[in-house]
Amino acid sequence: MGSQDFTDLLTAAVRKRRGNNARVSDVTRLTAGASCESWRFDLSDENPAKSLPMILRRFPAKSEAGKDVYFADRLAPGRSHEVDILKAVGTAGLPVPVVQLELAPDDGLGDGYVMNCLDGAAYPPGILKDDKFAKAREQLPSDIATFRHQLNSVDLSNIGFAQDETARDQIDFFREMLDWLDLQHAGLELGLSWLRDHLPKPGPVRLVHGDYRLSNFMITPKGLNAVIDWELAHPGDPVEDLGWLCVRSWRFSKPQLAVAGLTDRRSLLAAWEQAGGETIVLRDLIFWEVLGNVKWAILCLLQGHRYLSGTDKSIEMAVVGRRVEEPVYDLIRLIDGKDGELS
Amino acid sequence: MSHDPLPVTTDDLLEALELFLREEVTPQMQGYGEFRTRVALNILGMLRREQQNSGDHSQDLSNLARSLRDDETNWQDQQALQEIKAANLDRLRINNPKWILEN
Repeated sequence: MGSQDFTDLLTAAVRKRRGNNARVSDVTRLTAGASCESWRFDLSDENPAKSLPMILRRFPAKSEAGKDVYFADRLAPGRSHEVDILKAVGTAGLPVPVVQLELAPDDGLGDGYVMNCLDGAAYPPGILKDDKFAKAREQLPSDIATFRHQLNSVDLSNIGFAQDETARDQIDFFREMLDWLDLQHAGLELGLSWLRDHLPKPGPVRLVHGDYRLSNFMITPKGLNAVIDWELAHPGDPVEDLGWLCVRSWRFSKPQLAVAGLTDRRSLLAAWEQAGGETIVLRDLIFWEVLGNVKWAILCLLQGHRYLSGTDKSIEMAVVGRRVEEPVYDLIRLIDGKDGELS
Repeated sequence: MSHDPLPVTTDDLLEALELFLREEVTPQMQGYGEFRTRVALNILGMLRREQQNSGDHSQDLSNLARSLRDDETNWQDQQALQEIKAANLDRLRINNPKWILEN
């Protein structure tokens, strides 16, 4: 689809709901997200000088079939419920974008929705380095722990999730997926063997964001402004989000600071308690960090599979398929006691 | 009779491609295009390292993977751990040597 055609379709979709004075301009595709497209544009009604920045999230028509759909849906359970999730989280009083319009089939743009574009940068290298974020970096561990704790109050009943994804569910699922890909990977089996022997005690099931890391946080110089990208959300153990936050792949220029390149694990657990959370033992946090590494490896494998099967012949799918060994390296270090602050 | 070596080797061709992408294409790209050009350069780096290393030498550990799955061995098996570490490092040296930490 040419970019003019795209702008025309988007304009028509907006005018259908907001009247013929609505104007769409400066439509740009954002880098993030390969399975889902994000576009930024300006929307104005009467007065073009008073335009508001908007984001379109669009899920191109599914070219997957059969088993591919099952595995993609299990890994990204939030994908088909994003609008309901944003509404439920917003209703609980947490800062998330507000849905402005939902696409319909006759808009010709696939599945998707438009939301307001909130202030802040979701650009980890800058957040971890630039002077203007120095204060935010101090504030973030507390903001991140507080947001995660408040997520516990979100009502799951208005979101149509098909199933819970507890630790045990996910371990079984990863094995199912490796079998489907006919892959015998000793490093991943080592991780799964360790996980099965270190399962935390199950607690109440809550909304889990599922991709809780700097790239999905809108951050201003004051701290966390909003949390975006709920594609991987599911009902599960809230500690999963904190463990995922520690996976080294999201530490960017600061691999020695386990929590998103911001601070160490014990400080995160202290911030969690400060926010009102029940005590989490470090070993359970590490459990979810190891599981996060296995999950990231599985997501890499799925993207490689999407390239190999012809579902998506883009260059980033091919190359992510080769990144599997990074999280495997990191989970071996955790199992081996080389990382994890346990000693 | 000695045969002539290829005047321009595979290494040289990969280097030429990398130079072209880095010096000529990258400056013309922005946003999403720039990101994808960087991805393309990463791929060339992998290919060059794989080429210099004449392929993937990592050991086939599929039997060990099956034993771990079937509980015939587990994560506490030190020999298994060492074999897995070695294979993982072999692959990282090609795919992304910068990932390997010093200690």
